[in-house]
Amino acid sequence: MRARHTTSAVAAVLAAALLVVVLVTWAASIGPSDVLRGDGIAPRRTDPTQPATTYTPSATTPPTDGERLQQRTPDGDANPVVRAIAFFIEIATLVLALYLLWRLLRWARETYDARDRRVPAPDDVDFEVISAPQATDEILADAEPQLALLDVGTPRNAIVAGWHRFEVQALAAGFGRRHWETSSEFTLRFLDLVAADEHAVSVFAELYREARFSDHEIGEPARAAAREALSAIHAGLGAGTSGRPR
Amino acid sequence: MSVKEAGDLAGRVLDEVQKAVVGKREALMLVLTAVLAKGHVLLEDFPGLGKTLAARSFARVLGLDFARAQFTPDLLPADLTGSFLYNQQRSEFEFRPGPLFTGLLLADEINRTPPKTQSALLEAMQERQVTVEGETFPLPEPFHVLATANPIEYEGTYPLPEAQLDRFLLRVSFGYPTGDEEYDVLVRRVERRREEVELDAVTDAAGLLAMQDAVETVRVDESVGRYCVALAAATRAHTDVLTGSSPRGSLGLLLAARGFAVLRGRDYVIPEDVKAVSRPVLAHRITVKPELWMTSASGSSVVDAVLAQVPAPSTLEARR
Repeated sequence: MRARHTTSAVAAVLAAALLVVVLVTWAASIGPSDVLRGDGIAPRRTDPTQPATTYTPSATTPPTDGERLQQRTPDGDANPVVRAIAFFIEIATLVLALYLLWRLLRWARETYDARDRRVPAPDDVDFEVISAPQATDEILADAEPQLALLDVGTPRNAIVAGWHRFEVQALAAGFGRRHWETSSEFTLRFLDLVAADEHAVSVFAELYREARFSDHEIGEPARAAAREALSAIHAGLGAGTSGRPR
Repeated sequence: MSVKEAGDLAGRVLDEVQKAVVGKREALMLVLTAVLAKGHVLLEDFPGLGKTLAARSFARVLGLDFARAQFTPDLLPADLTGSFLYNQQRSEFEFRPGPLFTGLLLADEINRTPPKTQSALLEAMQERQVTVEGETFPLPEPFHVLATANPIEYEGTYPLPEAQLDRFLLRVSFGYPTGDEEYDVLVRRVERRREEVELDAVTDAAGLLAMQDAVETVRVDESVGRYCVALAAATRAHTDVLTGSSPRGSLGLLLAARGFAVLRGRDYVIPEDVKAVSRPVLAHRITVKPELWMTSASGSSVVDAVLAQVPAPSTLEARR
């Protein structure tokens, strides 16, 4: 809504500026004599019956029509000074019009580029279309390989890999991680969807955070604790599906 | 003091402060986060929401000297810093310290005083020392400023410029209490049969310094540090923004996130810590384009938008 208001305001300003430019261009191109036609206000005439005590004909006598015609050049335009001014106004107007056009094109291009750069809104802003049973099945189907990951490599890397496996399972179930979401935020949301054992999830999440972001010594007890927590999560989900119709 | 001990102590401080300030645990956590990170806080909210009470309570519970300076239009820099007075007995000028020489200063309604006095305070906040007539006096350690400002009154006020707002690590709003919390305020007042609240000091200045030293040991992974930088940089590129956060903003994010991690009992920062402090750290450092003044665009909305754009640290980055 705000963007539309801003666009409308910019468009209105540009349209008004364009109108002014067109009018000025037109006025400059035809010259001031055609824009300002007529003789103007008629000079006030003195009453011939009154004595002209301070009257000086050479200074105040209005020019006759013939004299006015004589001031014009043969082609009917104003004198050369006026024509030169009109010419410069015309050039200046043209330059201004080109500048405004350039600004308009640049603004349009930036707006277009910004629209291209805009991150598309995810389809799943308000609700997830994935069903909990589907996600549970994905986790349980991958339970053995996930547990096996905890036995590979150093305890730190094993815990991180085991936690990351939830993201892989979620993706397989059609539940993708948004790029601005942290791993913990996403995985906890995913495990909340399947109603996993909260305590076990909390323990595993803490172990993951410590392994990923701390420089603590992560030993075998941590690996064992992670294996225990993951087994509890799997067991809880398995118990939940035992009575479910297949 | 270990990080765990510092976290436990911080929790006790919060519990004690909450005896006086009902609810508002999150806002109080943010204020304590800034204190642990050796920063200053701008409390911007409507009158009567407990800003002054919170400041006084923190001073009492943290065992710090407390001074309050009411920022009025006629307040002079010397009223804050102190000045030299002539001692007739000794026939010499001696320095009489102003309210800046304290552990926790409540700068009440900071936007009511002219820029000259504001800048005197803000310089002291930054340098942690004051210079009077060519002589420099270091401020005591720890020294923290909790400044309050009323966001709705503009008549007779001098809004802080962006460069000076930048000196505050966090800007925190308390907001109105819920119905239950407000009723709790009434009940507590009736039960204690007096106006003032008795609070116990949980620690002292030395204890607070030890907590701050513990914060300095908190680890920040490279991916988290780069996330702070990316968030601050993204505020500069946002379409609604005239001036985005300075590098002081990304540094503030990191420092505040470390303080927040200690409050959570961790000696390492996780991306969620950064997200938790990003609004109070960054929002006041952002200037929205003036043509958007009639819209809902604000520093906070920009921070929210940036948090929903900048990629969070990946899951598998650290392979050791």
